[in-house]
Amino acid sequence: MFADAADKRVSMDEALGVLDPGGIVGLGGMMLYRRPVAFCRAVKASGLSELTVVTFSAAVETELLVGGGTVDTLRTCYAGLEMFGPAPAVRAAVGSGEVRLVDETELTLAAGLQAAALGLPWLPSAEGVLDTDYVRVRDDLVEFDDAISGRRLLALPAIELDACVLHVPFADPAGNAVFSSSPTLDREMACASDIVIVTAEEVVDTDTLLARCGQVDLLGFQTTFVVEVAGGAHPTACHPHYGYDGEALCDYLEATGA
Amino acid sequence: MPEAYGVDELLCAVISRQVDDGDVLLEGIGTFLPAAAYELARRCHAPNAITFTPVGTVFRARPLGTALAGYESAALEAGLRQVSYGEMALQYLPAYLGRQRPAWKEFARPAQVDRWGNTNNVVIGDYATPTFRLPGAVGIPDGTSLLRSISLYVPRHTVRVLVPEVDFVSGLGWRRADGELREKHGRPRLLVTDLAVITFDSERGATLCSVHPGVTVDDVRAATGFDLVIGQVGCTEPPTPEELDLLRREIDPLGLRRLELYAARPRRALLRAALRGDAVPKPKPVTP
Repeated sequence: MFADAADKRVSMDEALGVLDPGGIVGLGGMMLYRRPVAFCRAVKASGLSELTVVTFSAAVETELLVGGGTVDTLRTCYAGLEMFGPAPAVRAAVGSGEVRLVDETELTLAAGLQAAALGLPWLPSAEGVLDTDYVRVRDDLVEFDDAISGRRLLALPAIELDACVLHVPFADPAGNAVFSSSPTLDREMACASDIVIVTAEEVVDTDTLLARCGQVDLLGFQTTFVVEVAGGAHPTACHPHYGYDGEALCDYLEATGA
Repeated sequence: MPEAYGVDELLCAVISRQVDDGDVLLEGIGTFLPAAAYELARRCHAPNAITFTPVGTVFRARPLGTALAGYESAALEAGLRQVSYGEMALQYLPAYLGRQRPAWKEFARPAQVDRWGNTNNVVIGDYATPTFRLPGAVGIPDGTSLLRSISLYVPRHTVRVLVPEVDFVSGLGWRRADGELREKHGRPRLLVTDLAVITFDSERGATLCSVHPGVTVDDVRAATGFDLVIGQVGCTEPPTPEELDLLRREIDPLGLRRLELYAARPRRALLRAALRGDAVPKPKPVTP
């Protein structure tokens, strides 16, 4: 069925070439699971700067970018390495003012991406986030009285992405991809993004993909590029290839003095 | 002679007893203390409880023991349904969180909490120039005004955690710090710490309910940064031998629930040991 679809495989450098300084980039996965670590390492080496990074949670992938001076603004609802410890580079860069942190919540991220996919400027919330201090510190979260229902609502602004980078265990050359673990916010990011870069542990043919996984999570038409990179999420997990590398996470934190 | 136990096991027992059969239980990530308590409840008195496990983002009915890197694949195998965070935030939570039955319950761990149950997981100090950046409040700000009841746990009860006013309200309590009723408010019910069990209501705020064995009311008062209403104070019911056995042998043999008792650096050393299969050391036993 996808036999004639284009082959979207490119090198890491070719994929990086679509990112512009100052661009808005979504990073897929969450916490210590399926993070695009190899991609972020390549971004760091490329010298790109002034990026706005949008991510459900910031872990080692964002640490690499922030440590490389690549990030201007970070939008996330959590920065840390679970129980292993904090995200020291993020904490330091936010503390010094080098990186501007926009405190998000699960809802502001999910609704923001959904609004972008719908082509709307914002989506309203009737409960979540209302009356919390997020509204006090963020000018772009606007409370309003809805003229139709008369209810007090909160506008959660759209989050439009220039590109997003999703690491997956399996993809085919056409960009059909399987998550095999939590979908996190990856599909939502893809729908809100002009360019979708899939980095995959293994690129297999479509029949193998379907035989192994039943159905795909991301369809080829959503995907711009496929980059094969084994171990591309290490030290975070990429089920079923590997779990997170706890020793490496401890080593990283100790090396930073955190 | 009753069996010796640790404060981690006492906390698990208290949390477990807050669970009713059929509840939907919201688990955190790397928070094995409430996760172990939920499993305990499911094995003891709430076999029909459903757990949402964020690692894997699955709703599950099947049991799941604690694990480190292996937790993800075990959770994926145990799942009834996997959801994305878009589905969670835009469908399941807004549609179901506020319903009476089945009740959705969460035990959240705040960095700061005040007498009305307002919580903070964002910054310590002024927002623009904080003294300390916390990891973040994830989904807590989205759900507190909807949940029929939210409970809190604090493994280290001090005046730095139980404060007169939180520095950033990321979870809504019953009233503002100055006592004014909130238009949108949370419904915090219970706070369990390593010293005591505290209840909240909209009129009196935080009320001391029970002290743990060996702890006095004055100990609790001295470790609390806000005025605590002292009601009829009992002694917290200790874990039963059956509960202890389930926790130690079936649910959490490595004692990962105890990781939450430690600050970041000592915890990392214990994590390294646990990655190699060593159990997390036990705290000194609770003694009456």
